Amino acid sequence: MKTFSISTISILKHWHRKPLQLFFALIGLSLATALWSSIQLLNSQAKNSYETAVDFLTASETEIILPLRSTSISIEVFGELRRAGWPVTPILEGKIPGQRPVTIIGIDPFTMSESRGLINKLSDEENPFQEFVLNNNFGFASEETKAYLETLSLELDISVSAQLSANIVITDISLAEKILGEQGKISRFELTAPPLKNWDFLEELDLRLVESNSLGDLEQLTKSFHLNLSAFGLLGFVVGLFIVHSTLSLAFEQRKATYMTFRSIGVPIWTVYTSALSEIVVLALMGGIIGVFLGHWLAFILFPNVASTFNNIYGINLGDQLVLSVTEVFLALLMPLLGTLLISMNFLLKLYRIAPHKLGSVVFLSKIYNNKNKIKLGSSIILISLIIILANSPLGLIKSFFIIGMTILTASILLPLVLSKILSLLASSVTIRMPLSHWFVADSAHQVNRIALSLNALMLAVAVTIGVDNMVKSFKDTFDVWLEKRLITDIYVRALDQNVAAQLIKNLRNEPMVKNIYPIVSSKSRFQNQPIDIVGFLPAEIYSKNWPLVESSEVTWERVRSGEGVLANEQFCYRHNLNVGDLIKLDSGLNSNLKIPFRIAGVYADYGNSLGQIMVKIDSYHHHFSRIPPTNFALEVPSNSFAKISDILTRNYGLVQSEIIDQSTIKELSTKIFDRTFAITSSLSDAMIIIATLTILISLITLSEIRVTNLAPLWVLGITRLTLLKLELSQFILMILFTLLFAIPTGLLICHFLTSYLNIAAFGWKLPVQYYPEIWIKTLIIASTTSILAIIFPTVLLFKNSASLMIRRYKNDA
Amino acid sequence: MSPLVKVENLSKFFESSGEIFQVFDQVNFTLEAQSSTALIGESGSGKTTLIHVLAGLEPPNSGMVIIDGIKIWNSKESMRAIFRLEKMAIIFQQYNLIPSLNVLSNITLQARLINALDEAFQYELISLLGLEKLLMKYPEEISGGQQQRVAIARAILAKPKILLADEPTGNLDNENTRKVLEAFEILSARYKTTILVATHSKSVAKKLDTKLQIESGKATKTVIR
Ligand SMILES: Nc1ncnc2c1ncn2[C@@H]1O[C@H](COP(=O)(O)OP(=O)(O)OP(=O)(O)O)[C@@H](O)[C@H]1O
Ligand SMILES: [Mg+2]
Repeated sequence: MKTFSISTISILKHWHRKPLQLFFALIGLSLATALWSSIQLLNSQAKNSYETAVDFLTASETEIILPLRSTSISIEVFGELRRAGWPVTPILEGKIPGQRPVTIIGIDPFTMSESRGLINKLSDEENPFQEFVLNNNFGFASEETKAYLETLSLELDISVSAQLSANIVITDISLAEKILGEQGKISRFELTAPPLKNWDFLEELDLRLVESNSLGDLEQLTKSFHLNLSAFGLLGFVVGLFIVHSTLSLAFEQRKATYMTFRSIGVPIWTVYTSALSEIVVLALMGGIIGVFLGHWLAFILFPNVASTFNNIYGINLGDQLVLSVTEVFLALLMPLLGTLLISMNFLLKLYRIAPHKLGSVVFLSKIYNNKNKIKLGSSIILISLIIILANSPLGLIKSFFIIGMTILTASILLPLVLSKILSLLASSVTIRMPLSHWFVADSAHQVNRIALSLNALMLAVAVTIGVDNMVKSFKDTFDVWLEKRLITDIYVRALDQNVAAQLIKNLRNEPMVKNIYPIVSSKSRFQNQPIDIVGFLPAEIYSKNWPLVESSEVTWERVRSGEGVLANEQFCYRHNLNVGDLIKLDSGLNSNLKIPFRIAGVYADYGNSLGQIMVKIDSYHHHFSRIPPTNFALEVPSNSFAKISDILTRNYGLVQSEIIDQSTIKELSTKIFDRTFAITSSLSDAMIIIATLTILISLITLSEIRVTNLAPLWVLGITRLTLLKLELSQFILMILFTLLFAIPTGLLICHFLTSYLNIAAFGWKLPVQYYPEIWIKTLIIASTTSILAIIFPTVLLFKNSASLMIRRYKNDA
Repeated sequence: MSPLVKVENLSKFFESSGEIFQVFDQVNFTLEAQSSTALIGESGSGKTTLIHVLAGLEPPNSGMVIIDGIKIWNSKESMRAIFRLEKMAIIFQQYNLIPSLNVLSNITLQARLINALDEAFQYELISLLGLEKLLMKYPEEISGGQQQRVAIARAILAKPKILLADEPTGNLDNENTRKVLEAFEILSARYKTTILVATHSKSVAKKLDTKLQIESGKATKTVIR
């Protein structure tokens, strides 16, 4: 115990003598942790907000279960569904009789997942959920609707909710039953989790599962976005760890003598280990704790875009409800702890090698470099071949992550290797007749090894920034075009009631404002045991003009119109390795033994959808898959007529507002998610580059102590400090420029693997990539400016007060 | 003949942890051009410090150092550096080789820097000091005594006007010491270099013209031959 405390104290004294090093180590750790934890925080917050968003109730973004023939479902069916394990919650919706078309939505707070959060968010009052559950007459409505409802003399205690739009009341389902006079009735079920696969069971109960009407699931898009953010956060963490590594390795080198002395006077290796380990753990925890708080702050101060994204998209004020749970803090601390331990492995191993009997033996550094270089070259060749093999094998999510990870690893092994190889080649070509240039190049080759880590941090930050920015920008551009094409008409209608749908088909064509009506039907099916959607549509001209096909032929639409061909989404084709012209056999929905052959006539982009989808002419659909008449319609109407049409639809056909979807709303929401995603990624890239710059700054400041020792021999020989300063600066600038150039192809490679591998594996669709040299140039300019500033400061400082420093260094360390 | 080096009222002290340690107190001496001098004194007496002050590396607290007519501590630091490069060569107690250059480049470095490489002399020195087999190695790959001989070769090859050597034979055996002294003699005889050698070795001191003894902050000069 005594040896332990003595050795620990003498090891820790180092930090007392070098407070700057301690400061840098803590900065590195806390920055790494901060970046990681802030992103985790935003992610989890965003998910919560998403799930509890008010949209859940009113938007037709979710899958629902409707009665097959009748207009309502009886309460017994609910029990049967729950017993069969279906994750459903009942909704009773109807019009309150009166002047205004007020819709009452009755929900069941106990089966609706997240209902507590949802309800609590509807009102500012204290714990509205409790009130909602306990008060039998409780409901939410907008202020104006509340005023109207009070004139109706119903038994209703309305709490005002700013989140709800006009003419909607939300109450408990039993209260809705009472007000509507529909005891024991349910109008539909909403799914609180992905549906079960036994659709037959639904049919037995006279029910059907209805697709969401919109463009697939926005949730899928947000998931893709969270995945990107997390990957980004992890990379940021790694870049931050570089700072820690460079300070810890310096601290280790400087204490080597202390360790050696301990070992030679007989302190057992385990005691030395224990004190070294406790030091690492304490450092990691200190940095981690600072980082968690910094991350919390970072999430809202440095990334105002991010916070406002969630405010805008989900209508929820993120800043008000950010609470760190104990587990979150714990998990956030685990990262820096593991990270620091990982990077310290190297030192701990070296510590073991400082055996007392090796004291004073000569170490041939250049030999070690040479051997290491061979190992590095070998491993990068192995890695590259692995990447090539993996890239040409079937897709997989984990595999794609591996490929990206290996690409980054290979790039960071190759960067110093290539750089020092080029420099040694240069060195051998620069004749020793020019002694200073000769020294310059020869020394640069050595210097590369000294600052390899910081160069790698910079390369990584710039490469990832270029890769991700390029990806986001190309996706954004494609997405805008795609959205425009995909939303062929201005208004979509999803009638929940079969009779209303029938009315719509019959009469809507005669409405003067409606130019055309395109029915859409869909049902679930399976293809090679994978769930798919089969969609019936009218292959009218508006489709053939606009539909976002990514693969097609001259006969695409001809085949679709003849009913012989179908359109398939990208997901479907990737998953089953199919292409235009291939024949597929789909299960008939009407005769379970029958398989109907179709030819894939075209492939279309279907971003955000997780399922395979087949589009077939509506006549063949009814003939082969289901006779249920369509309840979804796309209406072609004059532009800017949404308000009028929706008025007609609610007044004359009894549709409720939630059944009518304005495509501009969808467009706006989707574009908003994208713009904000872009804003977040660029904030993150900025943060990454700042951290990488800091890494350079810090490692140069820490290195300058060693650097003086390298330069002192030249100074005492009679090379002026100004000359040395110029040489030193040009050396760094050369290396940084090379690093930045190296980062471009690496970034594009990362971009390629992200879009053509990871994305397909994770979401089934390929991100189309365009190249944006202006993004690369912008990143390069920012990165080179900041990093050159970062090298000027410590270098000038090094030479400013170096004369005495050099002679002292030279005496002590030579 | 006027002296090449003139030291007047030189004082130097170190301050560490609040205490003042006086190394020299009002020291005066001169070194004649083309003379060779042994700088002697016990360990810690200030030999290395004196060489650093003469080389323009470490400033004195007061007094004057005039070399070849130039008051070196009155000129700018960059001037001192150039003076050091062109007029002086220094052999350091710690060898002071450039780690990123191989032995050959190290040997020729100073001579090349002042554009005065004499290739014939280079080969003569390399073979005299027995460095032929080491030329392509790097400093960290050779022994302490070998490094010392490389440092000596570098200094001598520059044919300086004045050579300052700090314990140049500290790590060498008798045979090598004799060779180093031979090299010094060539330098002095052929190139008229003024030599100041700090040494503990009596045999080395005996080979030189003059003795400069440092003792309790004062310097006394005695002519041997
Ligand atoms: N930077 C410094 N700070 C404080 N004291 C110093 C410093 N450098 C040298 N000294 C002191 O000055 C004195 C002279 O040191 P110097 O190195 O010149 O001695 P030396 O004669 O060369 O000894 P040796 O024969 O052992 O090489 C010593 O007592 C030493 O402790
Ligand atoms: Mg000495």
